[in-house]
Amino acid sequence: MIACEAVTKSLGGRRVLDAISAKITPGKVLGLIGPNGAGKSTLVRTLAAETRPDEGRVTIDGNDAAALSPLALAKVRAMLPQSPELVFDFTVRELVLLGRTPHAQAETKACTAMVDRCLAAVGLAAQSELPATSLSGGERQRAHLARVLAQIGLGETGRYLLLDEPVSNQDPAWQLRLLDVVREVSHRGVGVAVVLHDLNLAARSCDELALLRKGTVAEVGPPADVLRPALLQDVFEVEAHVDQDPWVAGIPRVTFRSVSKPLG
Amino acid sequence: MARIHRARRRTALTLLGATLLVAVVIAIVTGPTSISIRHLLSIALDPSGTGLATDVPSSEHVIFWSLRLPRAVLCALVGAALGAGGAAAQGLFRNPLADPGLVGVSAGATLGAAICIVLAGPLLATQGPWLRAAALPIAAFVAGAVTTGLVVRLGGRADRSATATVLLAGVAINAFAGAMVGLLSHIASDAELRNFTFWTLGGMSGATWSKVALTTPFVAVSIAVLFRHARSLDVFALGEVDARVTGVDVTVLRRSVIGALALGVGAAVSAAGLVGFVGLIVPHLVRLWIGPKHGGLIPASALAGGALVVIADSLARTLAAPTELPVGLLTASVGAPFFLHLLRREVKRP
Repeated sequence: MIACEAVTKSLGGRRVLDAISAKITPGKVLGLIGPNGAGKSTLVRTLAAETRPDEGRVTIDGNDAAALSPLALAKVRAMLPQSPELVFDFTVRELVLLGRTPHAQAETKACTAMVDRCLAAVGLAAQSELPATSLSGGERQRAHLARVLAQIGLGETGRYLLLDEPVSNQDPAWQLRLLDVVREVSHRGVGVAVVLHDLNLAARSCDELALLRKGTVAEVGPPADVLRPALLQDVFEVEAHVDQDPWVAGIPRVTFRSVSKPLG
Repeated sequence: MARIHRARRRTALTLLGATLLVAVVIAIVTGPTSISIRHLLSIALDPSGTGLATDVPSSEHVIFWSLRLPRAVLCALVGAALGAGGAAAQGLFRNPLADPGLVGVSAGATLGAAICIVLAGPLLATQGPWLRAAALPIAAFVAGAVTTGLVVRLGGRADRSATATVLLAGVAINAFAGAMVGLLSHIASDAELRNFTFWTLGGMSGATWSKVALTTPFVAVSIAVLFRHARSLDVFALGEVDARVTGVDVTVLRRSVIGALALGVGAAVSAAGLVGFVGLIVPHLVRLWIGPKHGGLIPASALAGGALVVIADSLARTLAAPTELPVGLLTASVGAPFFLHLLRREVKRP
């Protein structure tokens, strides 16, 4: 389990996380939702022990995350940032292979097979020998997702996967497919935390949702408990309507009413 | 392409190794006294010169062992240090246009050379020949290392943009060192100024075995350290944050690479002055050929850099014979237009 307790973090004088507590459980998908600037990305980076909290602490399987080396951390958890970068003309395969650096010292057969499965999972098997920089935005996002999947051995038990808006550049079909991959990985015993803006996608693909507001958790629990009209209206400041997802029984569906004012 | 890259890496290392060897042979046989390949073999197999065939003049033996071979080896060492250093610097700064000099080592060495020539010149004139010969490279090396240390210290912030800060500190310190060199040029005598100018253009004319012996360990350690960090440099292409998330100790990587640059490039610059453009253009070309993975890029750039400087120096010795052109003049005047051509081609690529 990755847990943070009473974590506070300020960035540029703004308190982004305010005594927040959260945990990632093996085998479960935790969805982080909330308005822009609620602290979702900072919470993900804090849980990944990529950034140190000002107060409070993060533990990974009971160990203080601050005491672990970058390599020790990289062996147990992978994190996909919102806008991953890449310079130089690495091929898609070479990019995905970078995810294996914490584990393998040589390019073994098992390693190549793993990379192949990760590429297939995100639908880039045919593009594996192209320069990663030549891909479209959506494909590049999938290539980086394949890289972090490779880092956690495509679902080795006891690993953790933290994803910050992993489907922001995907069409509807790929949004669903990628989140199915994430669910399958979690079923293999991986603890997942994923930031999502699409509440209906979050409701379908997460076991639990944490709704963030101004650096605190407004509510945490199963999707049906969190996605309540009054609460959503309160947090997002938009009128919300909740009914049943027509495709999946027992899953709520949220729609918002437009409140835009004309341009001044 | 990953597979193609891997096959190309092997081919490239073999081809570049062969090129370096051929370049060294050409460098040895060309010059005012040309040595035939047949003589070359019997001379090379007989370092002491006692069992030479009677038709091989002993002057050729001296030229081979005391002049051309040490010079070719020194050229290869300097080029290897600059090539490998450039590859690592471009990886560390995540920029294919980065030069190993960005960390301040070349600017510092230049200042060291200027101080030695202008300020310490009169003092040294009364000293023995060994000290007079050794003072300039030692001053250049020490000043290069000190300047690099300053860049790392002043630019070393413990946050995510530390590499960018190091780069900015490098720019500032390069400018400062440039100003100091300008000041020294202003007070230098005409002869000192001429000496110094030639030093900044690079030259191998003082190549001896002792210089080779002094340079070799620094260059070898530098390239070995850079090669050891090849995989971390690959991951660094993802940016500092993602590299750390993927298990790279970014602080250790930065210090090791910059330290290795100070050693290798510092030794190269103190041995041969400023040999421009090798550190910039060689890794760039090699990357176009074999791909960006540093495990192949660093050794291939070392071999290619070595071959390039050996060839450039052969031209420098022969083009305007009996005088010698500064070798940096050749690398820069051939390298710069070629590089511009590459840039234009890359801009056109979609």
